[in-house]
Amino acid sequence: MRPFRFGKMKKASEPELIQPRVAEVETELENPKLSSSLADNQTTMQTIFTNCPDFMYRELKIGQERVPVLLLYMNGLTDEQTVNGDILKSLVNIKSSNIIVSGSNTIEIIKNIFLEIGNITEITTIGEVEEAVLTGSVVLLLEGTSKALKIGTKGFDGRIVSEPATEGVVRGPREGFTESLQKNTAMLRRKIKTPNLKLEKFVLGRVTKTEVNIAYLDGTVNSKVVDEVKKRLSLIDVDSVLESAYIEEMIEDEPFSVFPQIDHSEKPDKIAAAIVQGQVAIFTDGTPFVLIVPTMMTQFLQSSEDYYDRSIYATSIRLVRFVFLTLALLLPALYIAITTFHRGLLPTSLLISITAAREGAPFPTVIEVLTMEVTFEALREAGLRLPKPVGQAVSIVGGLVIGEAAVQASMVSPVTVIIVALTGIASFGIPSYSFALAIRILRFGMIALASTLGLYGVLLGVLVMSAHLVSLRSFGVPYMAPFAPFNLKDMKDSLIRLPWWAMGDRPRLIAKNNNNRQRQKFFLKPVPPDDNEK
Amino acid sequence: MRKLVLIMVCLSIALLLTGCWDYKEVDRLATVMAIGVDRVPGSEIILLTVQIASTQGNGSNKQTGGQRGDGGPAYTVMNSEGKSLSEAIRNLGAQSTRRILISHCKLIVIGEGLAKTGIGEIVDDLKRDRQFRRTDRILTTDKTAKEILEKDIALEQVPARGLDLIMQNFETAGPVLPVNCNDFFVRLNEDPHVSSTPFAQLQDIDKEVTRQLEKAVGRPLDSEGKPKTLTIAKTAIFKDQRMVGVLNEEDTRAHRWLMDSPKGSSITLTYTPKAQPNEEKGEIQLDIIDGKTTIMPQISENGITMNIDMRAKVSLHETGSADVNVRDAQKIEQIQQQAEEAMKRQLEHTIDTAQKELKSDYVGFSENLHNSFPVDWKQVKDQWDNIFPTVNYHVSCEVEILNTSIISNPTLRSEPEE
Repeated sequence: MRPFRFGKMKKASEPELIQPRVAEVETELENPKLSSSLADNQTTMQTIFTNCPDFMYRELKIGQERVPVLLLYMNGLTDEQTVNGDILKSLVNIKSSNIIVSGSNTIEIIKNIFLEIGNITEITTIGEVEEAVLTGSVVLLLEGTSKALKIGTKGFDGRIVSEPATEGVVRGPREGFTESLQKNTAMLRRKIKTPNLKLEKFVLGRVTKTEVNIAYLDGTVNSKVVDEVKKRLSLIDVDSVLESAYIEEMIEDEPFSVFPQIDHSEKPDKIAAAIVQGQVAIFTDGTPFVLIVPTMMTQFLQSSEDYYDRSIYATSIRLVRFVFLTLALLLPALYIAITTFHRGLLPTSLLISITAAREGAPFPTVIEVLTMEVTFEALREAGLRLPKPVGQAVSIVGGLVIGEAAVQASMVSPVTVIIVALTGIASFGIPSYSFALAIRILRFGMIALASTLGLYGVLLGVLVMSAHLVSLRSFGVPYMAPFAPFNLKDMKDSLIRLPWWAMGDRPRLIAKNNNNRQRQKFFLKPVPPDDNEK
Repeated sequence: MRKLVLIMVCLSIALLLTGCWDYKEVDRLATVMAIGVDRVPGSEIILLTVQIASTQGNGSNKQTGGQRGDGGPAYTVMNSEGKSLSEAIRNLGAQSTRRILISHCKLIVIGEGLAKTGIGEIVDDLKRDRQFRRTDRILTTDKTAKEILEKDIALEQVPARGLDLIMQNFETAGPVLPVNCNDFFVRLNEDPHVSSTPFAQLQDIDKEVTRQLEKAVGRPLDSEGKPKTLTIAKTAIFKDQRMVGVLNEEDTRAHRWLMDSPKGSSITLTYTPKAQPNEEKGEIQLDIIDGKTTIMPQISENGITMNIDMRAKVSLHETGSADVNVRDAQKIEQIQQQAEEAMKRQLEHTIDTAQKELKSDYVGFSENLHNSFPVDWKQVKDQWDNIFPTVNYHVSCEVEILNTSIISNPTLRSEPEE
């Protein structure tokens, strides 16, 4: 763990491009070619897929010559209609044509003339056949050739596009990513209509063979970041990747930091915006959550809606969020520190009210606050996991227990309840769930410091935290940018959000070293026509 | 590894430099709102009275006449004695279940006995004890401090808070110049060693009003009779750590004009029309909206002369029974003139009292001399007590009536028919 970096500030390690280790390269050694005998191939495949009842194969003889053909596919992964309707039909139709389907070019003839399917590739190895079958394609094997056809018929029922539950908006697009990678990248493509939007494919996970795509805008992105992302992705060697969090944990810069260093979203508009300003998105098959790198801390305090509201509203909401952040982190700590160490800081009447409220309280303030905070966290967790109707019941009971009964029974002082409630509300005011989690963890640290060292301890904690924050890097971009290092031009989209017509440049630290920094050619401040001028 | 050691060293230094451990739950503290110090003349013992905010009753704040909703009083008064103030405070701990917290104390009341025998000793302790703030206000009384602190103040749960609010109001407007510890100590330390504090009195206003009314209606009034009321309208003058005298209400007002600014105070003058002697006299009240007093020293072969120049912008608040047509510029002129004269008389009276009676320079002469002629001041500084009574002064006042409200003529008088 490196909470500090001493000496000269290290530059982000210059990303050097290691040739990505593509899965095929390694497996090629033990990846035998297909045999030209259909029967051999069939037995091989059957042994590979022993005890797989969903593995389907269908033999048929095509053409007037009755050439044996074998179709291999996974039941449920393929689109049944395509298999029955298009593939089988076209193969049967060969018979009625006059074309001879035997010999070395049979496979080309079938591919080029008969199959009424768009996505067909030739494959030659057992491994490829295996992969094709497992990813939902139909593989066509032909007697007499060592080649096979991979027919793209992927089609299984996925969730339909719906509004994301985690990132609701009042104004703005409501569609969210689904679990299907193809659907997701298509949604992105619909928003960014340029060939410069590049998607690069990786397959991660030895068992899950999860497809991962990185998306970036060529010409805008910092190519070093892309290379670094590719390098880090190619180094991943695990058996399974079931969610983007697997990747996030393996490619982040500081694994032991409490702070999330990679942002994620399930909203296509947010991902598109990130890509357009020069960030790289990492799509993972099977999850709607797409990673965004590099990430800066301010991103966690921004919601996509900030850009859809008028800038004055967005700015004021952002300022409120920074207040929330401070409250969520420090409020209980400050309450403890000030009431138990620095009574002189309180206005006299407030001191008297707090004292009166604490009259007869059995536990010290620290224990009181800690108990209430833990109870609150427990309630939140319970409400989150339980089915909705039960969750509501839990929160009602919990609210009553915490808010009413505990105070009535003189177990806790009402002021503590107010403080904990305020802190809870404040932590929900942070748009990013994972960043709010980090703040919640740190809050307990701050409480411990405040109860032992008072305000001095709180200050010490904030100091260490700030030192850690400014030392963090995300793919070469300082985490606290544009505050540290300070960059006035990038401040236009940080604490405040300037109107769109005033945001002429892309953020410097993300879209580094490129000529495509300018977003708009002119200063586009709207000027209504002057009525007096004729 | 070296980094880790370095971090550890940094953190341990940070932890070792924390200073005193001062953890205390608020419900284990007794919050002192005001302290009062008395001494019986001739005795060595300091008698300490503290007013402590009472917080019993689970924070229900409904009050009924100084009582909390559950019947307990909102404050407690505790007493102790000791050879010095700090010993007395320490002795207080012997009877209190809670630690005495003085940092919220707003007010220090000095009883007459102590004020007359000398406050040097307690001033030293007030300065040294870090729990006393330099912003605490000081009040002197003609009774004992104990009596003052045991008195309820109307509309306030904790009397100390009420007294503090009265003083706060005086900051912007009022007859008396409020004084905090810092002002008080600095003035006592500086060369003429003269300082002032507001002077509180217990007066039986209720009894007086009842008596007058009874006389008027000719029968005993059906009135319950309230306890004495605390009023702050005078100023105590301290010289060399001793109270040397008390200024009356008029001198107090002029003292404030001289030391601070006339803004916020008011003048009541008896208007005597000059042109038509048969017109009615009347009490006219003028509120000073804005004003400035400057004292300019002048050194000549005759000695030191102080030129006091007071300018006030006033609004005509009340004309009483005087027949004044405020649309008449001449009348306004007359009122202004009479106000100027009244003010001048008042200022002269106050300065005379300072020079002849109390022989202490509370009117700020030395301060202005020091500021304007630092070199000459150094020469006269040591004999200032002798020089001050002989200093010549010249007072000039200028009053300007800015507004007379919308009403131009006294309301209850019919306009003369034309």
